[in-house]
Amino acid sequence: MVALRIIPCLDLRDGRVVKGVRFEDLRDAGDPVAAAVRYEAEGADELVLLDIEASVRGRGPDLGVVRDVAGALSVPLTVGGGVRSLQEVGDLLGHGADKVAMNTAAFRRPGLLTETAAQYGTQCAVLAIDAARTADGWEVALRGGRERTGTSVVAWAAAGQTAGAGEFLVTSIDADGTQAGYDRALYRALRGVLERPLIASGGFGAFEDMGRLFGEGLADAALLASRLHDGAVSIPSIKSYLRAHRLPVRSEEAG
Amino acid sequence: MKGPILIVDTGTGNLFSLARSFERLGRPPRISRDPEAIAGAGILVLPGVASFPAIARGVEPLRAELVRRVRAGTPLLGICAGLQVLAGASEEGPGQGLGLLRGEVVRLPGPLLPHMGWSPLRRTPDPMLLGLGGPTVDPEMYYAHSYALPAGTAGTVATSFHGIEFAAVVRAGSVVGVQFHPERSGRAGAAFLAAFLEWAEGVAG
Repeated sequence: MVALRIIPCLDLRDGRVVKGVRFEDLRDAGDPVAAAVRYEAEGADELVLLDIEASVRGRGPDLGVVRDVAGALSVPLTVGGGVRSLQEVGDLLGHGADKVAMNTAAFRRPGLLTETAAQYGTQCAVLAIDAARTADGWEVALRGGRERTGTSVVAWAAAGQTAGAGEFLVTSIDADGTQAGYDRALYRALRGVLERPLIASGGFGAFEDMGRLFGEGLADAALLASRLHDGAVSIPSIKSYLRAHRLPVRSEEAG
Repeated sequence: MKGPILIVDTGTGNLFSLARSFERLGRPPRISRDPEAIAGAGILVLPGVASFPAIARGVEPLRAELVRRVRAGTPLLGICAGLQVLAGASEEGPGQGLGLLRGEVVRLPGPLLPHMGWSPLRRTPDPMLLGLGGPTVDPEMYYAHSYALPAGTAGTVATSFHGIEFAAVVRAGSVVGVQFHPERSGRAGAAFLAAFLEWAEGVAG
């Protein structure tokens, strides 16, 4: 049995974590290395590092920061943000990323997923999708939600799976930041077409939200950002809750 | 110990994270794809974030030297695709492995693939694995793969499960292969690498 994963997400701008990671005992709260080390110690099963400026500026993620964070971690690291080419995927892996998340570039050219899977294995190619609710489903949003494509999220996910994506990171941009719970209908619809691990993102407000998401088998992992960063919840408290509800999580005491 | 730890660069691995793991144990490795460096290594490590065909191509120029060193008793650790390429062939695609382990790499049945995340290690009482985890708790390791050697592979000393039981640690002569990523398995993974080094130094005399 593979454990359900809790994955903190560090959003980077100018090499700093934005949305403010507030750890009282850290001198420099926006330092991605300090935040990553802290989350690993608290039981994070993986980390995601998203360079949110990279796409806008037409470049890939900041390789120096990737190297610093990857070098400080001994749990897996997924890196994303503006990744457009197999060369950039290779550069990120060379700087310590274990997996690479692709979003806009993969949507425009699904062959990027195929090339990544062929060279580095399908487990390396993470397809990130931002889902925006429509009258009868969800459409793919690009550039942080500023561009709507009219393409069905479920259809694109199925096509991405065929192209070579080995894992899906799907954010509900309607639920994101609302603390109103996960868009479980979205993940249920995706489960209907995907045979790949699915990471849910957006909407966490209370333990019960995650309990329902996992209890109904709708995701394999949950990505958390602001609610963790602002100290509203902690990884140990989430894992205690899940364990108490007989949902499998990694037990740190075995380390 | 004669010669350094050498991470064999087949052009496909996450070499940086692995190197850092050995550095944290106080044993900074060298990284090279030079046959002469392989010849002089005390311990060989074959990493793999790769498809089988890609890593099979990567080891091809080094095949003769790798096989020669292993036959001469140099300890070698294969990780993930680096374990799989120790076998002869894989259902994942074309390519010739090193043939140092028996058996063929098979596709896991799922239901979800890849097997991605933390799963417990079911150990035999192998000395290399005894110190990991607690006395009653199986250590959990990080996996990211869709293919594996079957649990019945000769030399299997630990297994894990994803749809089927598969070989998680294989040991044959001076060769050790692990399907999980010790460099990404937190404290449990670091404890494994330390145990491997201790064993390897015993083997190498």
